[in-house]
Amino acid sequence: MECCRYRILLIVVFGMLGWQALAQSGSLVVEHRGDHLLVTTPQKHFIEGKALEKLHNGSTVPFVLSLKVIEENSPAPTLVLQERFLISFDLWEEKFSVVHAEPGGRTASRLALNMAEAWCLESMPIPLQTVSERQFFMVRLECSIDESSKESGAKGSSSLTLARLIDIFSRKRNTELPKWEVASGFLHLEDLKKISKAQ
Amino acid sequence: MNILSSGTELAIHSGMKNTNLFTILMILFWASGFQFVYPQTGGQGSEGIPGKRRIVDSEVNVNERYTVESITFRGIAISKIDKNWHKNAKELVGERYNEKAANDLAKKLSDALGGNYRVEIKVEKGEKPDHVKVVFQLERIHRYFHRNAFDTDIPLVVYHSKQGFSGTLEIPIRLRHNVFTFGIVSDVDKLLERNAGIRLRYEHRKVGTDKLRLRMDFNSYHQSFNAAILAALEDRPDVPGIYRTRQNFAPALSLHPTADLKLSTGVSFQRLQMQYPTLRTERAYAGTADVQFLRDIESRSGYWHRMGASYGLRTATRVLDSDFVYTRHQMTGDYILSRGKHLFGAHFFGGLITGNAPLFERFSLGNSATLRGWNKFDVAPLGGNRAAHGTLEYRYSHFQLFYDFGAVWDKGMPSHAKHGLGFGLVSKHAFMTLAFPVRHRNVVPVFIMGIRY
Repeated sequence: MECCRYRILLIVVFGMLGWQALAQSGSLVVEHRGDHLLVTTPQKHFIEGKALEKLHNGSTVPFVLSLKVIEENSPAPTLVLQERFLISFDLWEEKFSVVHAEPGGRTASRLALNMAEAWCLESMPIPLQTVSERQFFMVRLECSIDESSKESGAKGSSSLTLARLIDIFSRKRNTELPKWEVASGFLHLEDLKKISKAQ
Repeated sequence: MNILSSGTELAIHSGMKNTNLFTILMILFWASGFQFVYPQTGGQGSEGIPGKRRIVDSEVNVNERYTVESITFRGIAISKIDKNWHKNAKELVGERYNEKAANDLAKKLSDALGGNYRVEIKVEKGEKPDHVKVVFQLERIHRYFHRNAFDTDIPLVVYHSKQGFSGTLEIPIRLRHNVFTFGIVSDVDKLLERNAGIRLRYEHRKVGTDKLRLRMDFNSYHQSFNAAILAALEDRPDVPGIYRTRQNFAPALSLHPTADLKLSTGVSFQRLQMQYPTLRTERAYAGTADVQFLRDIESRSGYWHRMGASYGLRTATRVLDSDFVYTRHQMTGDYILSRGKHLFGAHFFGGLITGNAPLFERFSLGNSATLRGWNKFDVAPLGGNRAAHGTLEYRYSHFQLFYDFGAVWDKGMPSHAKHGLGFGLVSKHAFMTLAFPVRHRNVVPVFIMGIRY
């Protein structure tokens, strides 16, 4: 009877470890490239769910990606990078197209889903000088869909109408908007450099 | 002409010249498929019409380099969609797909349908290479509310446990822009008197333009009055007496400058066969003016708002050869906030009469919509020339809680505010409420039920 209990306990412990390993494998990967850091999400997609459905319906979906560098024992992020990408899906070629929404922003087309995501993240390099060489740090990627700016842009009017006022007052706060996020574990810059050299 | 049918999709290819056949086909589409397709017009490609070509910004939406093959909508009968919208939609066919133009069109469609439909755009691969089909997918939004209780145009059967039954049966016949309505009525709910008689109405909904309408009402009623009114009249010789019959002829023009706003003006010629002291006919000839505003707004966060306000003026003067001389002002304000199955509503009403108005013009409170829980013949059997009323309500799905408050009085006399509380079940076509007067003694609930059709 006691042996059976131990078995169950072992199954639970190994199950939890396995789940954690699976979760780790889907987390953010940070790589050292020259004078900056780049992130990738090899196991997870931020283009998914309703956003992907909208893309397949021929709409442009504006994604807002935020990268935050948080140092150990620091309550606030030391660096926040936020970029906006307009993604659309070519119905005939069945490939994604991305526009970096900034003045003179780059564009890329005929991308597979993984490539489109990677392209967005490559457009957000983290400068090395913003990361402390002494302290551990983690990187968090947040992704949300910027529906407000898309709609206001579509209406093409910044005037304060009754409808607009009501919309402003009844709008959910940004924090309530659907968000996708993933984080790396705590890292050290020296370790990243060593890995990079070894590769 | 070529008709394609594939599953539930139907398409008409243009080039048709026979308008009658087109109309018949449109009716068939309405009856069968809830789906209508504007095809790409042969020879009207984007290059074919100088100046019509849209600026292509295919860097933002990669599909903007494709040509629109057809515009389709699903989930609604074609007859419900505005002709101007059809025209605008047709202009996109043969052009490069423009996401902003499609979004604008979706918003216009939603507005034209009174915000009662959720409109989504789906772009699909076309039949031809490098062409796309734009599909407007409409989904009816189910809201847990019925129209404003002060809206007098709704045919209604009402039972009030203190006042009995009231009912109206109206049969509208529509011939293009003309609507003929025949109705019979026996109503004690709206006014102090019980009206029993006929209603005839003619409406022309396009006087040159869709925004201008002509309406002519003719009503002929036989009146009966509650004993409480007759008793109260003995103490109030200043209030005009009862009448046996009332005929009304009221032509009016209404202007709809925007979808939210309605302005009306007209005249109302009413003849009353007064009963006392001798049988005689008196005239209440009045000029009328009304302003109505109603706007529905749905926010992105799922909240739905309805704001309404109205002002009505009736002024009977000697200029129009009227025996009664008075001016009647009536104002209403409504606000509804809804999300999912929750609804909060606030409704206000105020009225003022100057001069000597006949009984049918006097304000009364205590019916199926105002001061529920009270009997209007207990509140003020002769009504009053001043009135103020408010309703606050909360609904969860079909369940309703409400609080009514208001007062009706005559100028120079004290006003006593009264309160009523109640609950009930409400749906689009029926309601059933139990209301209680808020007072120290003799709290007898009032049961009200009604059917809308």
